[in-house]
Amino acid sequence: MKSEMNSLHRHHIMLAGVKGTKYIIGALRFVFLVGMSFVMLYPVLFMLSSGFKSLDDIYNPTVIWIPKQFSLMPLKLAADVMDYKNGVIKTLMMTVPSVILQLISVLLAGYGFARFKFKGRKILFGLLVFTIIVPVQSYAIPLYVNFTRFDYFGLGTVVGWITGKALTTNLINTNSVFYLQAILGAGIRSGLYIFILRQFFRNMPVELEEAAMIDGCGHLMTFIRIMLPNATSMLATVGVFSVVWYWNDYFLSSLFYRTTFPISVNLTTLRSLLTTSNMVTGINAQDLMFLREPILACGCLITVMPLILLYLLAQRFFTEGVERSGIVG
Amino acid sequence: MKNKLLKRSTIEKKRSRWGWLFILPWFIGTVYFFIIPMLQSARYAFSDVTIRNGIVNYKFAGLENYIYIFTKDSNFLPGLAESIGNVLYQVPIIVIFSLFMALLIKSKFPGRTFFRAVFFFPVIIASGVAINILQTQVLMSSDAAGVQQQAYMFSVPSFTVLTEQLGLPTFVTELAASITGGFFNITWKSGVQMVLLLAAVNHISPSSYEAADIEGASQWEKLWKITFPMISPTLLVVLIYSIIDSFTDYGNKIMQMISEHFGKGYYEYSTAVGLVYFIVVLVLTGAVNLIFSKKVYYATQ
Repeated sequence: MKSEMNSLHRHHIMLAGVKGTKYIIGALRFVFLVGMSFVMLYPVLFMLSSGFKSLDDIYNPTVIWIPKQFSLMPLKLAADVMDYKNGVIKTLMMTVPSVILQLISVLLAGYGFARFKFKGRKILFGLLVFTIIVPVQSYAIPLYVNFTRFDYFGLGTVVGWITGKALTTNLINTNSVFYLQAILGAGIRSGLYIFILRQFFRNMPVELEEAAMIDGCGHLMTFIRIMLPNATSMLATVGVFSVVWYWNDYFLSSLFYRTTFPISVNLTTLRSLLTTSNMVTGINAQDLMFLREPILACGCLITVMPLILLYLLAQRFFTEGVERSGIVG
Repeated sequence: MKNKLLKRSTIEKKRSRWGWLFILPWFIGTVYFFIIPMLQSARYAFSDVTIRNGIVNYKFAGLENYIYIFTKDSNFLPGLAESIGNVLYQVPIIVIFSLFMALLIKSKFPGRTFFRAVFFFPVIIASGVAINILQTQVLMSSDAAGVQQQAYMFSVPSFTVLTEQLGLPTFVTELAASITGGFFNITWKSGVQMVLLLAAVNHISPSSYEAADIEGASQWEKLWKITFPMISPTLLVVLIYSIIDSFTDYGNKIMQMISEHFGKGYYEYSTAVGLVYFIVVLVLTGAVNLIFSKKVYYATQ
């Protein structure tokens, strides 16, 4: 009896110990995460802090982080110089269809690589990895030239043999340059997404597929009805990556567009304007000297802000999606 | 018996045809928007290119550019060695760090949604033009930023000042600055990896853990027997992505060399260096893939 009491007592003490360490670990984790969050939020805090300073605040040495006289002038100037409204419209026109088309092609290819055995699969996969390695800069010039006389995948040239005049179209300065590459798995970072999704689909249990096949689903139907609903978490992740990389793209946009540019190109224009010239409409040269940093900070802020808002909106959707997709496992 | 075999082979043929159909859009795009431009660009690398009055003249030069890379260019081989060295020490840190972070915010605790949102910020900011601007801005505004710190993405402005005011010797200050700078750097390079691993960790069904709990498994065992095998496919992506990312980073010596030659108008040499470098990277990535893919667990096998 006594020994039983003793062991029970010991058990309680042990439990309390476990609980105690659990709290300590929780607290440590919290402190660590707060520190990490500071590291990750730092640029945004920096933009917010320096973007809304008035001229007086800049002259005032006691103002370090929080402006005393809140000013919207840098924001307005940045938005004007960057032609913000048109830039955002252009960016949306480029980004939204490209992302949708890219997701389609990338999902198909990822599934194909993961679930089917066919001749040449290994070599093609090596090719896929090679497309991830080689940056687009190293073949951008021929790519550009080919788009100035796009021959519809050789069809135009064939037409040329018959009629004597090759059928080509100059696609530069049209959105279709981006759409075409996106639907054909050559969009921005498509290779990476295919790799991610291939790994993901390979890890899906065979039973799911077999059950669908027994129910009479074809390969395409199995893919759409069974695999896709179970892939929401990865699909959301890849989708958000895709939006971010299209939105932030600078190199390809400045290469393929000629008249109106997406917002990130306008941001570089803003920077070079601020560093090379003293002439910006709406502000005199002397004030501009001191407001350079706030204006640039605002430019960065309004460029990334839509992405941050989008992520905050989408986040709820895809953490829910993750928790619901518990069928697999 | 014969009939059965025949049937089986047609099923396999059908499957293989479906496989091709699924990857067909990607294949067309890769031939048309990658292989063809790449070959056109590789043509530069085997020739002497002169541009006169806007007309490009190629003169076949054979392997001249390649021989130059390995025998005369004193920057290439040391640059390559340095890139490989960087990969060797950076990639393990980045992979372990991002895995650690993903596991840390996996479980439910107050403020988890906030931290998850914040952890996506490096992806949004580090992939755009904004990072270049902020980098120069932050460095300009932090007066104490030493020469060494300029290599890092962000410096902690007040930190160096603080340690100096405490009267610590300079080497302590420098060490502390380089550690914090390195920490910032690693964090900012792990954004994509963290998000990927978080998605993979979240995709593990809770029922696997419940079953393990019933069997009386410890946290440690659950980590090794459930979490690691289940996320190993994504872990392989993260590993390979980190390697490629480190090799093709803009701060990389060879990448800088390529763009420098390109900027000076030596297209042929720039593409030749690029070709050699990317093939080396491909071979190394392939080797890593071979070594680690045996350890990856797939539910399909």
